Amino acid sequence: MNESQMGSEDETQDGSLISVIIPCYNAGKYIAEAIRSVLAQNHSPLEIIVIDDGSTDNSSEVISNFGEPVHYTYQQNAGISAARNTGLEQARGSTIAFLDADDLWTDGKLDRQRRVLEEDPSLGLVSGYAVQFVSPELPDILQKQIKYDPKPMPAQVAGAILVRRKVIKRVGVFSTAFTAGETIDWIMRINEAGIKTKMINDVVLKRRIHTTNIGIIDPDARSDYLKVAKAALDRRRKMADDMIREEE
Amino acid sequence: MEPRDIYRVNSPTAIGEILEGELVMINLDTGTYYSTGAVGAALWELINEGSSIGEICREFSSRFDAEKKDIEREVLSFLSKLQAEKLIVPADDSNHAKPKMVGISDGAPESAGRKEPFEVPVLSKYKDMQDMLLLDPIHDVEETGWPMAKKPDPETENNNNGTWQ
Repeated sequence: MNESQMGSEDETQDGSLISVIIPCYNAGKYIAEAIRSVLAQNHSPLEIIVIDDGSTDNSSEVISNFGEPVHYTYQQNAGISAARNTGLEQARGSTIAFLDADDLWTDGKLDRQRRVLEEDPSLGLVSGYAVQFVSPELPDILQKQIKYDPKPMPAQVAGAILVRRKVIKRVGVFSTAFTAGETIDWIMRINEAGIKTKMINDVVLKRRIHTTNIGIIDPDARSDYLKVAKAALDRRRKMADDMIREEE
Repeated sequence: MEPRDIYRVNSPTAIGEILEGELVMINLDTGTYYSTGAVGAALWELINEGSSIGEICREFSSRFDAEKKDIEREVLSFLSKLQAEKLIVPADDSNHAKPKMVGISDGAPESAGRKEPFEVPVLSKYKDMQDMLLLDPIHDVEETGWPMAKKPDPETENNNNGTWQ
């Protein structure tokens, strides 16, 4: 990908050409609803890119039913970061949005965030609030057992973000070193780079709770959260050291 | 806190791991994370082994170059901080595995060679991941969720912080 394809550095209409990246792994049950929530936006994205990360269910069939508006790519299972990164390689828009295959955008999500970016060219990223919901197909008995906070929560998660492409060019793509917390790592890098971000007070994302083991994190995943924190601490110390060295 | 008291990691709320000599901990309920150096890490290891406060102090006295009373004071102070942050809780003796015998009694011989310097453990606290940790997708491991991807080979891992080609 060359510079000319990366979009102008200071275009004010940046926000209008949006690539939506949806990574998918065995989300055949949910991805149609996710894609419909993108198609229902009052601001049409430039493209919808679905990266099928080695699904073994009917995901590909469900996605292909959408035809032309959805660009479908299949890859061998490599994890959510690798899938998003494949989407980033393909994306042509000057602004990038993500959606996980089991989640939903709210109406007007893209347009509200696009306007915020347009109004302030110095902003690199806009996030918003998310609400969680229990997937309706779960049996009643399980639905009652799942504890979750139904209140809107400030959400710095991939599905709630609209980001200028040049920000990604600057801080890099999602790290494939973590199986969990990869978005935290990525946003921490954006924050550390001093990129201006803003959270709007609107609910932009509906997060689906669809398994009974919510809250039980795989031990490896737990360990990854610690590694993400450690990486942030190391970067911060390195930055401080570099500043001291420059002063000397 | 009594010398015979035993504490344990407050799991599943708290998680911690020693990474390159640094102890990193997260309270998953609050989204706060913590860091401390080698002495705090050594203390964490002893807690995980089921050592009592008394055993920790004795182990530290034989290992670190400091007055016993200073070590005791700092160990208690640090444990109190960990407890206040809900990273550790008193272990229920009846359910707790028999504490390991550390083989260090009051009369334990000084370890051979020079003792390590004793640095007062400092607990650094960070809240800049709070929002993110509290709402990070636990898009998990069952058939409808996200699988745990294979760990990349460190040799080929090159896109952490890499530029977008």
